[in-house]
Amino acid sequence: MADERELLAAWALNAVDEAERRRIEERLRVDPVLRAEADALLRATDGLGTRENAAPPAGLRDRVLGAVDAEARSLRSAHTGVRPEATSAGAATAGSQDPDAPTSLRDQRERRWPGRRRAWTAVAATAAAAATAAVLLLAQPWQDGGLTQQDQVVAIEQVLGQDGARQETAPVAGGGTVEVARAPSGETVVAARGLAAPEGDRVYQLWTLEGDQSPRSAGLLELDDGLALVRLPEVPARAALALTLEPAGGSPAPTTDPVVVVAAG
Amino acid sequence: MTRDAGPGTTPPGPRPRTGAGEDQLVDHLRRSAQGDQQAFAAFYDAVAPRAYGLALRVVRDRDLAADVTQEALLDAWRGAGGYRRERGSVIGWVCSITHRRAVDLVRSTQSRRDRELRAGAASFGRDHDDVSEAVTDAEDRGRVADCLGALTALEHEAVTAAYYGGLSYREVADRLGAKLATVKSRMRTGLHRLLDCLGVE
Repeated sequence: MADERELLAAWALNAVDEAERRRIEERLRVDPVLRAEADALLRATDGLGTRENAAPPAGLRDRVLGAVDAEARSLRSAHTGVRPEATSAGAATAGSQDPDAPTSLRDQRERRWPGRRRAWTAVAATAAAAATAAVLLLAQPWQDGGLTQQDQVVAIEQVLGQDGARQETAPVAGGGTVEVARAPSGETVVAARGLAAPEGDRVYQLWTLEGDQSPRSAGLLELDDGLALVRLPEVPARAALALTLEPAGGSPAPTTDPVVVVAAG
Repeated sequence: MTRDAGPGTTPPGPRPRTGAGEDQLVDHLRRSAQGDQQAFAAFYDAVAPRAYGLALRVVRDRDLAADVTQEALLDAWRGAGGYRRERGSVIGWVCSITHRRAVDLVRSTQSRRDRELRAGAASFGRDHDDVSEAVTDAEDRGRVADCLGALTALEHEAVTAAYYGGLSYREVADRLGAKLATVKSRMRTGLHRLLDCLGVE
């Protein structure tokens, strides 16, 4: 306890290590007195940090805006589950009246990474799921060797690098663990390890649960030697995440009890 | 650093000199959170010189500073919806993201070695002129320098080696030959003294 208070100034200066930082920030969430002191210290470091001023290199603006544009496109095409050239208005028609909708994500992936059979996927399996699972982000094709724990660590760390991000790990009934990293922006990474191969044709399906609304599908997990990785760009802060075993192709609504639930922060 | 909880506070720092008022910056950010890339371009124009200036000060290399600025502004784009006005100024938020990215870079061994070579044995708080392209508002800079000057020598070293040097408090202790507890406590008294000084307008 006293240790975190002692370290608070070092924390405000970004001069603590990663484990200390997480410990302090956990404590800050539950200790308003310490939080008030932290805010005061941050005003002092703001004083040091916001007075620098230098003309950025000429090409930087295009680089940053180009990266933002690429990310927005990737999000949009994954978000709508329609072909990249389609507009986001396609989301409304990705329901059952569009026979292409369930497979378009897969088609799109094949085009983007032809031949990469073991590329990361979390396919919205049914038309109903495609319409509600507006949460898939196909931003990071894995290396050719398939999904590795290193890939998971990189994806998790990328979220945890954001201000105010949180991390939780929960055991899965039937074996394995699920690690969830969530940023205040809603960006969320779900990494599963050691998952048992489902019996028969069953699949793991991910859901977001918000209040008393019906669970919303966030797609199916593609297992790679017990590993799975899903990136969700916008999970509401109040939403919990759950994993169920569903019949092949997934379900519009859960049909079994969750094997794991990760509560909202 | 996180600002996701706690009482609302507004830093006493000056408004950005970039021409965009705080209200406008907040609006750019709000629209960016909705995916408005034009708003984000305006946001970039308003904050990039501050972010790049800070990155340059910490990493001491223009190319690396540009990389840090790019990563930080992408973080800002992704996290735009997470900004809370009651918890601080937009520029403070951007600079805290940038500082974190810059320190992460400095902490990687190779970049630290390169950086030490460039920086030589100079004191982090007082050798800023070697990055002469970093033109800081003279008045702001003067006031921060005045306030830093009001710190004891040990407070000054501890605060500047950590903040501008990217050193951890353990490394600061090594560097100064001081006890860990002493360094932690000097950082704390130093920041409070700085806050008192900067807060007097």
